[in-house]
Amino acid sequence: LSYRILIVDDSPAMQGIIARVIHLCGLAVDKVLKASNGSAALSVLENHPVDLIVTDINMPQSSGEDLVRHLARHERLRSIPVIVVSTDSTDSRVKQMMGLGAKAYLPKPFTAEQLKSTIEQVLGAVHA
Amino acid sequence: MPSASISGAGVVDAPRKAAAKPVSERFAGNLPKCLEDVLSTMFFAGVIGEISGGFDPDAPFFCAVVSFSGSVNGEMGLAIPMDVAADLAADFYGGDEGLEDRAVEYAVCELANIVCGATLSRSAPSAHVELTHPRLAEEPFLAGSQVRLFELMDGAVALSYRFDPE
Repeated sequence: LSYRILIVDDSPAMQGIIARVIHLCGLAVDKVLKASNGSAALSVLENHPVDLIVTDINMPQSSGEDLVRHLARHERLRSIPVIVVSTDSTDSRVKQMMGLGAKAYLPKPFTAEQLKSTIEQVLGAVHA
Repeated sequence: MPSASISGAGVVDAPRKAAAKPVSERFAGNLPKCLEDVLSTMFFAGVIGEISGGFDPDAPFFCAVVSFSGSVNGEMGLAIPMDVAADLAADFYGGDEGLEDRAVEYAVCELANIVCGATLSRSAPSAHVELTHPRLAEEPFLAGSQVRLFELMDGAVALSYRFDPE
C-alpha cells in the first residue's frame, strides 16, 4: 500500500517542510501533491485521487475551512482524511475544524516527530 | 506547546484561563516564550534572551509583516539580518546550503506567521482572529510600534507590534 498525499498551504516553505517530513517518515508514499489554497486543492482532486490531505486554514481566496466544508458535502471526497495544521490553536477553532470532519488538528509550531506521528495515526486509523 | 487533537483518539487542549489583561499586554508577555518555542521547534535555534540593543537596522535584513484582524486588530513585524536568516532558513529546510533569497524570504515569512499566530492564540484563546499572508517590508520596525530585540545563538531578531485600541 502506498499513499498519495495532498499538501494545501499558501506558504511554499511549509509545503516543503511537510513534504520533507512525509518523505522522511518512512511511509510508503506514491506521490505528494501540492496546492496553495482550498480551491486549488479541489482542482487537484478532480484528477488525482488522494489518501490524505494536510491543510492549513488561513489561505488567500479559499481557506482550509472552505475546503473541509466542501469535502464533507461530496460523497466521493468526504472519506478522504484531513489533517489541519495551523498557527490558530484556539479551542473554538480546533473544535470547529474537528466538527467539520477533520481527523486531526496539529497546531504550529510542531516538530517533525509530531507531524509524522499524526500522519501515521490518521492513516493507520483509516486503513485499520 | 499544544499537542495534536486527533478525532477519536486525542484530547483537545484543556481550556486556558484568560486573565483580565488586555490582549496586547498578554501578547507582550507571551511573545518571548512563543518565539523561543517556534525557533527551537521548527528552526532548531535557541533564544539567549531579550536584549536592549544589538540589532543594526542599517545592516541588510529581511522583514516580514503579518496583520491580524477580528476580535483584536493590529500587526507584527519580524526583522532579521540576512546572514542570520539564511542560517535559520537552512536549518528550517533541513540543512540546505546556498539557498536563494526567495527561499530565505519564504522561511522568514513563515517564521513571522507562526510566531504571530501562536502568540495570539496563547494570548487570546477565545478570540477569533484572521492573519493575513505575510508580506515583506523595507523598514525593520513598524511605525508606532513596540519594538523588542532578542539575542539568538548567532545574531539577533527584532519583533515589532502594535494593536489597535481594544
